[in-house]
Amino acid sequence: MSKIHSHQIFAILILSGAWSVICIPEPHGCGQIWGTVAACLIEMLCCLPMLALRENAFRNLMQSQKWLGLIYMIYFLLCGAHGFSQLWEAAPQQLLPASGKMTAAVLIVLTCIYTSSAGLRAAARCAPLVMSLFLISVLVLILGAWKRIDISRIALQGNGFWPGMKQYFALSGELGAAWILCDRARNGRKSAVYSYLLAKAIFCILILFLSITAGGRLISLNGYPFFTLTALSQPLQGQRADALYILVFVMLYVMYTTLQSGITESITEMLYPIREKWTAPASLLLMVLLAWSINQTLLTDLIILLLPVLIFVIPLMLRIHEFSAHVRRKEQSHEAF
Amino acid sequence: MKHFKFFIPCVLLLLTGCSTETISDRMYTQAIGLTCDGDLSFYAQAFEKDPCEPVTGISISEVIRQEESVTGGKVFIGHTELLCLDGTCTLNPAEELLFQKGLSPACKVLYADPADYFKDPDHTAMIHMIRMSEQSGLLSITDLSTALNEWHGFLGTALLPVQKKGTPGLVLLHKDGACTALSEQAQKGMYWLRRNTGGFVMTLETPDGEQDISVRKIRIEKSLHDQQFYYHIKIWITEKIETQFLETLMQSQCETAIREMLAADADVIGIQDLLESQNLPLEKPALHSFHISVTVQ
Repeated sequence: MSKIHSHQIFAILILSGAWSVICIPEPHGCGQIWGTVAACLIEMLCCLPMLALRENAFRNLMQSQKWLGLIYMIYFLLCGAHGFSQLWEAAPQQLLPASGKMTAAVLIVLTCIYTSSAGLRAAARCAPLVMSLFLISVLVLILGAWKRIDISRIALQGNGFWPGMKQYFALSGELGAAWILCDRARNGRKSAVYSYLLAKAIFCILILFLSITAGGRLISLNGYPFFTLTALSQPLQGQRADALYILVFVMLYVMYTTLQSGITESITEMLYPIREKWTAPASLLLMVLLAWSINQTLLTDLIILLLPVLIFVIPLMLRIHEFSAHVRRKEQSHEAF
Repeated sequence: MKHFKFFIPCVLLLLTGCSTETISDRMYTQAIGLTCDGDLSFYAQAFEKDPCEPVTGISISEVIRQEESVTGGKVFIGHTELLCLDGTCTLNPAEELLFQKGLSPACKVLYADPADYFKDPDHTAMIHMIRMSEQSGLLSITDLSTALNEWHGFLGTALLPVQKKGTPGLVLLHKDGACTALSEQAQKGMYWLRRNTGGFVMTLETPDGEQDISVRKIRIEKSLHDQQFYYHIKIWITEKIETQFLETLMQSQCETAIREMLAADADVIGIQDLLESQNLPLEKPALHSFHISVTVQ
């Protein structure tokens, strides 16, 4: 199996995470910033057993417990469906008003079918390039919002801690993919995952901070803090930055969906060791169908429910199993002596 | 297959829309005006074009479509520099223009009757005059996004520039369309109490005669303790003057601004933000609950 560099893992994870952050539907108040910090710390702790496992632990688990593979697969399909429903809800009214809902969605899904058929490795290789474009757009956003920042709008004891925390967990669908990607990492997987968690939290806090201080009351009126910010953040007088934001918006969605469909393909390969080119595009179409048939709130709840089991409970049990096997082997070797 | 790959970027270029629309097919507006006397009247003035005639309709989308059918070009309001509104329309349609139609958030909002203003307009001169007044400390910085933020506050008023002879003045626009003009003293006070930058020269009438003073930087610190609002203004100047005189002058200007603002039931100095920061109920404060201090350095 082809390996992926740690910086590529970081890039693809942060881009997928950034997609979820820009689709935050509503701000809850200044307490949401603290909720984000708390959720990030919890996620960092939850990742400890996953990152302490040996290389290829996930592959070995899939081959020994195939039913678990199916649960992981369902989880990634749900994440992909959640991403599509976010696109369906957010894009037409915010960034793609001219193209029409269906046209925009069809064109974006066609792009995703192409990228997912190229495979996870191809997506990982182009992720650092997309990352540079994403960073430019963040810079433009900050420059545009800078003059509008009013620090007095920040309340240290504001509302929104618990809703903010829940929302951040719901935005962490790609965290499940971290383990599978780490299985394919050459080295530096711990730094890749922790850098991703930190960078995503910083990005989320930045968006919340700018939306509260620069957007003010307009953010709560219009919803979707990121998109409202893009309307307010136009740093150049002679040139609007909309095209850049639309480009980044579409690219982030493509990376998010390619990651989910690529991971589903990887799991299928682990369960049934035959390489089928159309697994990823087929899973993508399944995600679209799921998005249309399941309510977005239910999708969010299912992701929040499954996430701790898949990234914390199962890796923890596996780690305990690994440790006990190690202790047994040690005892056996002592007995042999 | 290799040649086919080169074909893909060419197809992508066709999808940009550059192949179907030329620049002459678009109408780039410099200023737009709105009145709501029964139907919505929409004035759209393109860059360097003759004065325009209004079109009418029942919604923003309809009047834009009407304008397109009259001018024969797709109306693009993303580069609009001036939005002209009167008491009939207030700021209600401005939100749709900002979020749905791509109006620039930095667009200046002028309080004037579009029917009069668009008769013989010189938008470039008007925009220049407003910007210069803001840069020279004569007028508070206002634009579409700040006006909308104030408009959706608990007292529902917005501070807007108004056309006057000489330098533009300021008015407080209310939800019911009524407006209150601020005195010259209050306008200066508003400048110190709102977001501002400094970096200008102001002429001060001292007991010894007129004196030019370079204002390098201004900083305003707002806080709320025991239901008392504290506004502390720090101002850095380059000339050596009797600071006490300037401090007293600024303090009296700020007090006049607050008095006139409260008399008009308005909040354009962030009272709501201060109340919300301490989870206090939103209510109009009394004049005596304001404490203004000025330090000149």
